[in-house]
Amino acid sequence: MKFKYVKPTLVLLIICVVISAALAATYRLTYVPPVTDPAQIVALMADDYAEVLPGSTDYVLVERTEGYEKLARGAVVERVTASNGCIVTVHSSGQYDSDPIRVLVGVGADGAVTGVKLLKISETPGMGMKTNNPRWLAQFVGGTSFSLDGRTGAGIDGVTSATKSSRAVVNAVNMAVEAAAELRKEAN
Amino acid sequence: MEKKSIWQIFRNGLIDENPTFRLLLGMCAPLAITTSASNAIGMGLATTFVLVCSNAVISALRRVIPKEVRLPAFITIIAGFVTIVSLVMQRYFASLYDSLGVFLELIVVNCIILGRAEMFASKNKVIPSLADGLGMGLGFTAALLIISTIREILGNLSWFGFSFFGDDVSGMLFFILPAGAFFVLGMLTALMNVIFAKKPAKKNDAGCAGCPGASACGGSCDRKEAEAK
Repeated sequence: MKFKYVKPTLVLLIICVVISAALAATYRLTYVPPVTDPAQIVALMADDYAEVLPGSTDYVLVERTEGYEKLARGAVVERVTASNGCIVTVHSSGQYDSDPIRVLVGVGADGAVTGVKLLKISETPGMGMKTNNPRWLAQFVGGTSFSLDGRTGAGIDGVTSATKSSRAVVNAVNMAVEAAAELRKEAN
Repeated sequence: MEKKSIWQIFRNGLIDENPTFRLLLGMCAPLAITTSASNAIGMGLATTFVLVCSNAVISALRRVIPKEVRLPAFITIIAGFVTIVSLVMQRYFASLYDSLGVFLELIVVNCIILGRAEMFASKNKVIPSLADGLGMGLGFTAALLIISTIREILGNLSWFGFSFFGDDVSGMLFFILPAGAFFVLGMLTALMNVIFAKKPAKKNDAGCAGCPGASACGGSCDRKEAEAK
């Protein structure tokens, strides 16, 4: 009577093998190798860089955290120098720890912010997503230190009902300014 | 049970037994991702694809899969299709993939899909199962779209991401918050009940004859009772 166990086991095994093969094939077809060449990365991002640091040329990728897309949160993930300043990418967690906001910050040679752009943001629509507004992000231009309550550095008007997301962006810009200062020190 | 035409089976999923408003199955997505209409369409179509494919495969294999391992077999097939959808979406619709987040993978445990596999696909031929999957999937998509349209327009004053009044005017935040999702879902379910209400079953109709869910489960209680005797 041991025979009755064979058929169910075999059928389930075959189904698992077929599904696994289908998944392996799909993975192969949809796999995109990550871009690792620094020159290529800089070329792909040139438009975004020019937006946050106008009038700059000859970008040099100083450092990029490996596998940053999924891992780093609350951390500087990419540092780029240019002719008239530097550009720093920061991951900062807003409402969702697993989905940090990716903030691109341009810092001029004098240490003041020249532009802020959110490269990736998936906060709550109608709330945190409102931080991704060019007019709100323009508040940062020209400053060197920021806070929502205005006690340290320039005061930033937070987006109503999106305190966490606003705070995440403010923290990211502060981190970027510090990272830029380090980059300038290294260069000297 | 009398035989139903393909069109009846399709219509059944779309309206009469709409998984969201009538069967109240798979409530996770209708509450979580309906903050914007584009999310709802993406989620609905992904679910429809998985539902149609898994229904077809499970129906084709219904005589091959032994009763003892049918649930593990079903869930393996469903999880396979969900992973395929998420891989393809990550490659070709990266922004949609990002905004759906973990809820895309959670289609695996959406009980509409396992429910239709167990209630319908494992008992019917391939063509009716395809019609059932398509009807249920599009019914689910329509439900998501209706809920998200109401929530996005009232809560964010936009539709499919196009803002009506620019960024300076705020909508009613309540509808974007989770409480708004429950409110909209409850109101729409009530509305559907008023429109499509059937006569309540008579009390003396015992067993599957008096059960409003009998058509969905195929009279499994009566069958189990008969088996037990």
